[in-house]
Amino acid sequence: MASSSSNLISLKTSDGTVFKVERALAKTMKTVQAIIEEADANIYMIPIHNVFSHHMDMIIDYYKLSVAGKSKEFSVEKLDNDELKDFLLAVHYLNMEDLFEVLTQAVADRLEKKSVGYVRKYFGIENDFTPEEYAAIRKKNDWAFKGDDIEPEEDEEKQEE
Amino acid sequence: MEFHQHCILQKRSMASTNEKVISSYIPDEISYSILSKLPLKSLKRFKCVQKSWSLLCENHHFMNMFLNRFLSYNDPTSLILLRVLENINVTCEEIFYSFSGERFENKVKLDWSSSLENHFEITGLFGQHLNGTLCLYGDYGEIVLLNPTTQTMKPLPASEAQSVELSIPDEAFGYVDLQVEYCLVHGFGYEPVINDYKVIRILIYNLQSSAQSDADWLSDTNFNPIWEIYSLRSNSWRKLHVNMPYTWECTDGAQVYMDGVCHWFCRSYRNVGPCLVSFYLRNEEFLVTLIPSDIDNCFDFDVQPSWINLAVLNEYIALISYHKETTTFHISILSEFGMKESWTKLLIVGPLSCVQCPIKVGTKGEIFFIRKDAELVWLDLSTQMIAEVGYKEREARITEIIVYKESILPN
Repeated sequence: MASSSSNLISLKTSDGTVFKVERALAKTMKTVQAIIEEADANIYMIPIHNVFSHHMDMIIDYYKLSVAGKSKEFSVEKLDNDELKDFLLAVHYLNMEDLFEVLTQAVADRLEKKSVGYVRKYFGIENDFTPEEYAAIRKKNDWAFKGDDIEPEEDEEKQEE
Repeated sequence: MEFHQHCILQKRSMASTNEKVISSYIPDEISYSILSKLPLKSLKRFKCVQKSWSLLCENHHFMNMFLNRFLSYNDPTSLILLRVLENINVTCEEIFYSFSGERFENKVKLDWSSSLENHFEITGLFGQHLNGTLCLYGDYGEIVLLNPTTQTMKPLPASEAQSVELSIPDEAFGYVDLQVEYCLVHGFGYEPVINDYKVIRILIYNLQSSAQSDADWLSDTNFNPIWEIYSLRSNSWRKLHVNMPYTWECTDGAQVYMDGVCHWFCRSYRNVGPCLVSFYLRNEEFLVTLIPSDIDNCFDFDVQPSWINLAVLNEYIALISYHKETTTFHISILSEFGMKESWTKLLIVGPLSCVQCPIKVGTKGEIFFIRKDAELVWLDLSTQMIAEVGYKEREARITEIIVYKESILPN
């Protein structure tokens, strides 16, 4: 049983797993910290929605590395782009500043060479330009679409001879 | 995040408890944080994603986030070398100072050997810097490589082309004298692969004829301006067979080196407008990037040439200009060499009514200038704060200043 005087906090993820974490780790989660502070009596268990157990595993990995001064060794390479996005959303929900910066940088690195079409899908964004508006802004920034390493746009690929 | 936000998210996830996948929607807070970490080229491309993203450059919150990150790269701070003429009692004494430290708090009066002082008479502190080594040059082609820390110095040898002094018989009119009138150093760079320092310069010849002579024939001989490159390893000069835009403004600040490429800017060159020239040391090829006037129109004012410096900001080449009428500094960066469309106006600082005269841009983008109260100060681009170096032109006059970076490579 967790109590506010013990050193461990119990966190229950979306998929029902209970993690007992050090108070210091819980402190890096501003959302959790706010819940602890608002409920000044003992809390048995804090539910963390939108966070799955595989997210918690990675969070604990990161925490252990950063305590040992090795936060640079933390890698999200094994996650695909969508898994990385989910993880980022979980960390954002928990309001963990440092890990948030690490993950947004990782996402930026992955998106750097991607096409506009890919980015729209990734962010769940609809194209709200009229065809004329899009043509104009596309033309203005045409140089940014050029380069062997840049992913070509889907609709433009068809137009290539 | 506040507690009530936590409740909202709870509700949202409860609505989709049967779905494993979290909603694809990414809130602005997250997307801006991601976007602010992208290189400029990607950012420009993603302007086409949606309308709100096309207006990001006008979004103060986003630009602050972007600039904070962009300008907070870790680089060793600049070192300043100052040559001043101080009035001590009745006499005028020339003194050299060095300023170092995060906030230039270490001020040291330098003691040069007399041989070094002699060289400064010839070359001045007029030059460029690279890895803690200064390349100083004088008006008549003397070039010296100096390491201020060790006070070691190496004068560069003259080149064959430099010592040319010919009397050419002119068929019709007697003799025509040809000699080098100007030696203009355009670049000081380093080639990491072969661990060699290079100096690039152009020799401009002067023709003096003893009589009225139409020396048209000279224009297509090889006495056109000649480009030369010096290699420290071979300690010799070699002609370059290139036809690049050159400039008369060869001062520290008008040229910059980054990553195996020497860059300099030309205000105007023949019919080409203001441009940046990028010379690749490895294959000795060059690119010219025009500077469009909607990026920086300071070149339009030809009443008095405006102050311009090149700098390296977060691994981009930056053009920093001072607009006197508005007392503002304009900072633009180039994403791709050779592409004039890839210039981006990064920010405008000012109006700064306290600016008396701008001097140099440091290695971290700090802008040094003399303030109206005669203090030497610097503007930090990331905080936009002005701080004092700790030198005032009181009974003294700063004759020369050079700002450089400490060596990060073994010399």
